[in-house]
Amino acid sequence: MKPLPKHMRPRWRYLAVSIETWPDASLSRRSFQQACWSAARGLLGDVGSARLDLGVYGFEHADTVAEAVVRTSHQTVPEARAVLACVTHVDGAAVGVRVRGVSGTVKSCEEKYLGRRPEDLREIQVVFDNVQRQAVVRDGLADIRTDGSFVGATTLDFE
Amino acid sequence: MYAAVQAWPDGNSTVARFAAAADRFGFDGLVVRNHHDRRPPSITPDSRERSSTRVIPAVELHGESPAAMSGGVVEFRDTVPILCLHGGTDRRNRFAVEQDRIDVLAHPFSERGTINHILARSAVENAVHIEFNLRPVFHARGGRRVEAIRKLRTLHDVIRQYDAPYVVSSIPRDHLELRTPRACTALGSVLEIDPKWIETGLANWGRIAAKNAEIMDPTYVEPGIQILDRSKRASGDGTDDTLGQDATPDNGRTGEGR
Repeated sequence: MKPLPKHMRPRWRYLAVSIETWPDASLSRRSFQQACWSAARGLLGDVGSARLDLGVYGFEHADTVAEAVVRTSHQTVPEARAVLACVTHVDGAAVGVRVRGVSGTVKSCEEKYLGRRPEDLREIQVVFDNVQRQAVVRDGLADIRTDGSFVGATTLDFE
Repeated sequence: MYAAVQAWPDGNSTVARFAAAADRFGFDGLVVRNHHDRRPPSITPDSRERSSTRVIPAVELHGESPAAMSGGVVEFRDTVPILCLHGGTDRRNRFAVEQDRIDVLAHPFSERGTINHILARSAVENAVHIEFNLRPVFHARGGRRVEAIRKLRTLHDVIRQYDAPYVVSSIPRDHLELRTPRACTALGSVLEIDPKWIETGLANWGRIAAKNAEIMDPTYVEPGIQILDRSKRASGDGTDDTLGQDATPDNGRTGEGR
């Protein structure tokens, strides 16, 4: 089928998104995309979700940090920001989604806002709240294992 | 703009972790509003020095009935710059807005409570800020979110109609739940609320703290009057030093007795 003439083709904006998780989470591009669509339908309904036409490009997940480029229609960037702020879980794992910047192309989006490689994770023993615990540390941030979950901290909390 | 959070042990992230996130997200500072009946959060001296994010301690009074919380008002009023009261029922909401020693009525809709024009007028008289809580819009789904949005829209109209004081927050309990100011204003736009109104609400936390810090200053007497030199008062030489000779007082009080 022939594409639409240039003046009728949709124009897009690309949001550089960083996603933070607890250490035991595993995310995929598909699951994150499903979560975005679900959040859009929940907040804006089917009509609003169709207007945004969200899509996920270039998803990369490494340990507790993931990066993605999310496409939206050029007129709906604020709504896309609101939808992404409502993504609280992906595949049952709690996530924190933040939009770092917006650009007109995927390439410029990745170059300007993404691609910062975090320090490698390491597991150490720490004393937190007067109890010996296991902690996962990266870039001065620490996720401390407690009974069945994690507490977010920094290395300053147990130095 | 400030993020009002519940930190460990009330939440699941420490103050330092919240501060690191708030710094990246563009907040001017944090308001740590843990419940009064939990162990208070700790900020290590090192983290206070190394973080560029201002941390304002606050307390959120929690109890079943107003009688249970009255003691807390007396106990905590002079110890923290911001004193919140855990609302949510009509009875607690009404108690909060009738107290001039309370700064913020927190989440007034959490247990089917409401805010009407009478409570808004009381809030104006007693300078009690009503919290515009975005947490259920971010986290709830389905009918609970619909009800929350409906109540927030009504609250927005009431606040604007009666020019009631307000603050905006999303009450994050860990750093993953912290939302940037831009995300809050974007959500406001979806709810048909002016982004500037949301930004003002986020900034009002800092204004409350600044006003109360001035009142909590030991040299403060009343608006426009401040003790400038305690040593002369202590010597009992009979001079009135509430207005120093070289001071430029406010509110036209200058010239009295000179």
